[in-house]
Amino acid sequence: MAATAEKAVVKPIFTTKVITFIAFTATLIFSQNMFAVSSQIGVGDWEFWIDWKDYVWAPFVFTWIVAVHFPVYSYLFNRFFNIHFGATLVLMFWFLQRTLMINLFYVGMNNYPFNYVQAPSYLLPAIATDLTLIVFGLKKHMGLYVLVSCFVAGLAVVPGHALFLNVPFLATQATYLDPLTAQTHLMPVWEVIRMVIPKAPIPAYISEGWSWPLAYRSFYDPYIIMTAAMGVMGIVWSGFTYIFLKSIFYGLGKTIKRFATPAAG
Amino acid sequence: MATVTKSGNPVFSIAQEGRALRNVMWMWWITAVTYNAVAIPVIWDPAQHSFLIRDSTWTPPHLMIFGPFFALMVFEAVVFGFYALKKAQPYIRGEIPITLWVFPITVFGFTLASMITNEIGHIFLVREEFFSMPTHWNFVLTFMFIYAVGVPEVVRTILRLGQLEAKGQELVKMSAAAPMAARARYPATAATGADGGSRESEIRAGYAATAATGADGDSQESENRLGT
Repeated sequence: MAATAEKAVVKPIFTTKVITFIAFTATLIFSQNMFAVSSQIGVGDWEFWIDWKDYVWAPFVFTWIVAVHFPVYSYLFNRFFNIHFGATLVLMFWFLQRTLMINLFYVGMNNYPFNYVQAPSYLLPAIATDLTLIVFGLKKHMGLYVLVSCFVAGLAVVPGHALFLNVPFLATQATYLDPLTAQTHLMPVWEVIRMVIPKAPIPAYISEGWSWPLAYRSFYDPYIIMTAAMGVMGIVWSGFTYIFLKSIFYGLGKTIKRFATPAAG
Repeated sequence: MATVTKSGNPVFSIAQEGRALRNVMWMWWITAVTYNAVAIPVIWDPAQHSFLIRDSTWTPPHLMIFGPFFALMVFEAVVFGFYALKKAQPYIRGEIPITLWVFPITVFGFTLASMITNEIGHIFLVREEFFSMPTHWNFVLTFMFIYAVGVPEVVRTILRLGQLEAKGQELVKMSAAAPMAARARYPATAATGADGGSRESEIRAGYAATAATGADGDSQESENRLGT
């Protein structure tokens, strides 16, 4: 009998699964929404980049959004919902919605070309901030976490491009029409580039299949400089991120402090 | 319904408060979904402006795709805000929490101040429409502001529900022991129970507690109090 009574006590009254689900999805949707607007206006339509100048300048604005938003998502989802991949989760939700909207309004209605540039650019930084929080945990210093995660997020932007943009593009199979023989040849894009531009800078890990990491990149290589610069930019943005996160907890703390004891009757 | 205390705040039973807060939680969810749906005009509009030169906010296409969402956002901020403030937040003592009054103001700021400054800027300063220009970053800041206010509100509501949960569980514990009270009236049968003695004292303690609060009335009221 006592066991039956105990079971009845365990059943939730107010904090049911539905309520927890509503709170979680509302936070997820709010996060996605803020990220969507920040990406649309604060970053821009980099889905439609056309030449090398876009490739060079994009990391500057990508660093802003990944350093200011992802540490906040990681921290809040871990703190309030015990989820260890908040930033990646928000990014995936954003990607879903973004794909739907772009395909509908840009590709469908206006027949625009569309390449998936932004989601891959954000992916590695999002994973990096989530992993940083897993390493740090919530018990450690929040300011230090923000500093490190913003740095890591900024640092991950350029390698993210190499990993998720360069490699898939260069490894794509392209049909090359030989103008002399009128035959078609199936080959990866990097091979087409090398054939057309013999001295084209194809990464060794693509053209040779493998290389020592950074085998023939000097310290002054634009990739290295750019990666490091983005890490520094992440640190610069971390101050803003800290203020953002602090203001969220400030508002929460102010109101929780005024909670009265629940009425008994 | 609730009575009013000296501070002017009504005092609810926990069932009333729980119901009101569950309503607030649904309202937050509807608000979030509305904000999410703004992605439709926010992508649709630049897709059109990629081949149409900038035009006024007050053109029919703009009003058609943005209008319903803005109207909804303002309506929700006002109506839901007032519900949360007047009907569902009796547990907050002192002045109105900053997060609660900032939210409607922010939404108004977005729909009015940002739109008006944007319009003025496009008339007098920059004719062309580049969404990623820094002059548009007030929209970004506004949404970050809404986030910084909205998420604590959601969390605050669920934290309060957690407090009510703890209180409700206490009361359930007391009323769950009620069937044992019947057995206690018949010591002959109660004696067969393995934990008769200790449960009986627990029951007495439970009844004493509810009697002290003056809430141990009929069963209907008791059920209402527990939100069942």
